[in-house]
Amino acid sequence: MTTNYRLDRTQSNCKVTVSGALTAIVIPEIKEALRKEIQQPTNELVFDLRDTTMLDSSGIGLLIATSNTLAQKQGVLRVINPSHEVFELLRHMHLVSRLNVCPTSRQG
Amino acid sequence: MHAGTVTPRKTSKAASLDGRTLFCDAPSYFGAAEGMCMLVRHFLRQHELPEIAFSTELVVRECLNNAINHGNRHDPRKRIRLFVVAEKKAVRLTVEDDGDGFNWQEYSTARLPGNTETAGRGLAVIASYARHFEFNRRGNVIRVEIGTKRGKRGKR
Repeated sequence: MTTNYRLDRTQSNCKVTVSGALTAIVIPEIKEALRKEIQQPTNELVFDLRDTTMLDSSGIGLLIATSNTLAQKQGVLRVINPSHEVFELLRHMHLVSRLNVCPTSRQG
Repeated sequence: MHAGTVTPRKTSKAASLDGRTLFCDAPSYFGAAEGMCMLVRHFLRQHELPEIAFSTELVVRECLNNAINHGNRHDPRKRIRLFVVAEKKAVRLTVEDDGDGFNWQEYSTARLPGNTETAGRGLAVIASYARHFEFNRRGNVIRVEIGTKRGKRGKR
């Protein structure tokens, strides 16, 4: 499965779009890109999971690590547009509130 | 009886042993595990199990991640082996690594790590989606059953 990611910045806000699987094999590369990105002042970083088909515990770890780093700089992370399956996974891990996961119509 | 062989990576071996069983044998690195996951997706489509496609692939990924990270400790000379059996309303899978195993009795899957912890959720994910799971005594083999209705937490 091919995974693509994109980082878009507007002043102090950043959006990360992940297409494909946010899983162990892609985490090091995305983590490094994010590390560089949030060296800039970042009030809010949004993970748009509209096209994310799979999330595993390594991907969850990346979301939490990014949230931790942002919190140290008074920034906040949000997760938007998860599929029903990804939302349920985050709910089972008790992370919906922690990661500011926005339920959308995709949850059904 | 149907038998076939697919090779997602040169170093991986995969075979559908009897049409309902998939076997993969690969070196211990994430690229090879990704190839195994692709085969599992294809296998589940063949057996028309869409209701548990996500949960099965997720559990396979967690088992393979554990085998690579903790079992074989990223040693690519060691192997990971995956068996998947498709039943009418369930999937049974086994993941084996070449590592020393671990004392699984000491791990509580009932307790999630703190919500600032970035690791340690693999077994909790497996427990959430498995109808039943167990380790062998040594701790280098995990067997998981996933049903079409979310199961209770697994026995260990």
